[in-house]
Amino acid sequence: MRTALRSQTTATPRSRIVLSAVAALIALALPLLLQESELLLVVEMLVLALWAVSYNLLLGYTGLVSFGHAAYYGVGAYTVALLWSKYGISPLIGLVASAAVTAIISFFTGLFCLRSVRLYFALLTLAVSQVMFTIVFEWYDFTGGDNGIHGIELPGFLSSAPNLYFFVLVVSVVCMLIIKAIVNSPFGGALLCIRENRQRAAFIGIDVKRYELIAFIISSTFSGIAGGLYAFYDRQVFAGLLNWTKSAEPVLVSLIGGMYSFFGPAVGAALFIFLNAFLTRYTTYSALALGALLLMLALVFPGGLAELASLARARLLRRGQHELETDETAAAQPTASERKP
Amino acid sequence: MTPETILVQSLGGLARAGVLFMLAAGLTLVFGALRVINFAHGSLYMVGAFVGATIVLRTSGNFWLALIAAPLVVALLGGLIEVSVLRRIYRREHLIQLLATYSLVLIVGDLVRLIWGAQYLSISVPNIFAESVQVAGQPLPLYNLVIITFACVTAVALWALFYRTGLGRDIRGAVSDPEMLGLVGVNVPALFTAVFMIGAFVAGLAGVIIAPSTSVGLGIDVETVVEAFAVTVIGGLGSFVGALIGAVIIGQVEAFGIMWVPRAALAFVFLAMAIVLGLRPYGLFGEPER
Amino acid sequence: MSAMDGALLQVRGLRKWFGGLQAVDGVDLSVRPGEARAIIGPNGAGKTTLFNLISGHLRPNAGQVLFQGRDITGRPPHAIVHAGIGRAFQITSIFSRLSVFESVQMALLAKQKRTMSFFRPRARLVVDQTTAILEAVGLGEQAKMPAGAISHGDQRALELAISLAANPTLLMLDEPTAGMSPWETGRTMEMIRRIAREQGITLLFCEHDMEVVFGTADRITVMHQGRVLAEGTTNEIRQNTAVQEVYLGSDEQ
Repeated sequence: MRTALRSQTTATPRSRIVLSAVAALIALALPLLLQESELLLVVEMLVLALWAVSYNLLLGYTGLVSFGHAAYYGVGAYTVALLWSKYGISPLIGLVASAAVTAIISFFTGLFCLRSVRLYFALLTLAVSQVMFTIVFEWYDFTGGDNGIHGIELPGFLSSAPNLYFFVLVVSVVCMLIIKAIVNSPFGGALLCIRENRQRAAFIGIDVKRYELIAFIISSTFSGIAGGLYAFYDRQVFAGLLNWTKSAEPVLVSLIGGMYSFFGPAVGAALFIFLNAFLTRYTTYSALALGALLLMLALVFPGGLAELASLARARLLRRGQHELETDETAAAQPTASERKP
Repeated sequence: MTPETILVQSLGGLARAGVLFMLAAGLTLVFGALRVINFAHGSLYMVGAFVGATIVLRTSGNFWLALIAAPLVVALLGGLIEVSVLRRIYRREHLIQLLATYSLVLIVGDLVRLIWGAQYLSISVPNIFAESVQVAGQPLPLYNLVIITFACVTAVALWALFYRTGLGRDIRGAVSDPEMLGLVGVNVPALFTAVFMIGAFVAGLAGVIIAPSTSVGLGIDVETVVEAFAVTVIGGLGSFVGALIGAVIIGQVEAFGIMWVPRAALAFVFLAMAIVLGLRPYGLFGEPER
Repeated sequence: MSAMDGALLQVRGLRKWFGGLQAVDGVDLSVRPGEARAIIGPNGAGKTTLFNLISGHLRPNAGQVLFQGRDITGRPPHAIVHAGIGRAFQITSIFSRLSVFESVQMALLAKQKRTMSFFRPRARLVVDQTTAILEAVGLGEQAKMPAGAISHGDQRALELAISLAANPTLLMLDEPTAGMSPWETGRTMEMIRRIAREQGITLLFCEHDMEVVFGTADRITVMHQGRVLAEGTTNEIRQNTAVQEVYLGSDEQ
């Protein structure tokens, strides 16, 4: 929530530069520190992180709840796979194509779904995505139906795990930075106005439906790229990528991480993948554990990890600075807080 | 396709509609009064089916006991859920509510697996309904007609509850203006618990009724709740008549969709939903948001 | 209606019904540039519906709205804002989680059609203009506060600032002093008058507080049961017996 509204009037604080540098160093060192299977887990995290951050452009920044975003993720993955299997086109070109294809499809589905609002919009996105899922599932001649498409061959330089990791890292980070720039742009500000108050947004001269449609397309396009990256990671695609159970993932990780924080969903994605791998290794009742965790989150920390973090930070800082007391109370509520740097 | 097959098929669709109506009625009731979208409604239905089937198996075929006891168990579970979870999130955003009820889906699903394991339970149709009747020269399982009858009885019972009892009056009050209720001295928390338990009871009932005509297994929770959602949305959230009509539409769409593309029946359900919402953004009987 | 020519806003035969209820039943209205026009009338007279029809929130069933000679009947709200009609709301309607500064800044950018820009950081855009507007309404100090966290009176001022950011030719105010203390009321109306005079903004407002109405308006239109009952200068309205009977008699002591 803080990132969403902190106005960028101040220069980048030094702490942030240091933080970015440390993150970059860790990212570079990871292939040396981790085993191959662990590194691939990180790749999976990056893919879901990009998807979740794309998704959250709608959820956290525009206030639109989509329950059918797996459709665009899946279309992205299938674009890479089909171009390779049918026409022998390199997955690298396929990745670019996946962005274009999802952009075009989401223009039409968005136009259709945005006729409804709120809950009806959410369920309409679900309905549309399930129709797309069934098409992929049933169209054996073209998509391979429930057999999916296997054994996608990547360009030679991506055959090693570290190289694949760096490739996915660069693509996903660049995409996230683009989304971040959009969030901080006048367009992103217009989306925030729509999220806060649709009616008032129209009365300051914003064409609400049009902006919602563009946000929908941007969000879907980057979800498509995330799906394309998934095809790189798994080297196979299957209809389940478009199914509604898959659509629940970006919603969950955005809520876990905190939908009012830009990188919250990315952190939520990492935690989600980690927990999934960890829980399925140690218990057969992973759904129970995940459910209990989500329930606790919903009941106790509706702002997700981002809220948890800001609470902790406020508590730490309060020892030194008296004036931050108000900030903590503000952080505990779903209203915004603005802190002087 | 002969007229006879059409008739039989549509009667089968009506039976499906009966079950869907019982679920959608609960969903729409809970949404109307509590303003919560209950993802876990299908889980209650699944528990009803498992408990009902278990009672039948343990008592060597006492279906009638199951028909009374299982819904009561589910209603109690519903009461527990309302008091321990839902009560704490009424004032939260829709999304947080969804997250909470979704987590209940995961929890209940795994608890059912913990108790019953991953196997399927199957029970047979009670003897007196085991026959087939001849409809236009085609055999039709009598049990389909039983399901339709049960759904009609449920519909009438719910109607009587709403329009002929004091509790029903309060519930209708909660649907139209929850803030007023507290002001006129109604115990709103207790009322909400009662509403949720009624919804759970009907879901449990649907679970028991469906048990003899299908195999009871994990996964029927989500499968069914998705369809029930489609029904509720097509009819318009919060509308009973809508739930009824939506159920009939979806039942028919499914029955004939299966004949056309057997594996894609669910896609027709969603297609129907997309078409209805495309034409009427608030569903057939829904009102624009308030 | 003598001032047909040169009218800034012209409403002709406007009607709106909800089911069987005639909320606005054939209203004619003509506002000259630079005027401060009050619309008064008992509750349910149709003032708010009339406002919603002019600002595009509702579409009329019949009739016409002309602004600067252009037909804007039934246009969507965002188009009407760009045509030059701003609106401040009765129920404070702000962007709670945006800062005070950002709220006004976004309103400015939206009006200047600069919101379709995707990659420029918005933080450094229109800073001076935003600051000037915030200073004008007395919110310079609160610029960094979240809009949802400032006092009610300040939120009303912010509401006004957001409307002013649209650089309106005509500003519509829906009960600008509702819920304010007498002191706040006086201060707010004085501020509105000053800003309107400095920037040459025409005012159209509805208000229950008769002191505010007679202290601010040049002309008054009285509505009753969806129709215009009377129109004239403050003095004419004060002496109008029909108005006294229907309106002043029932609502005022």
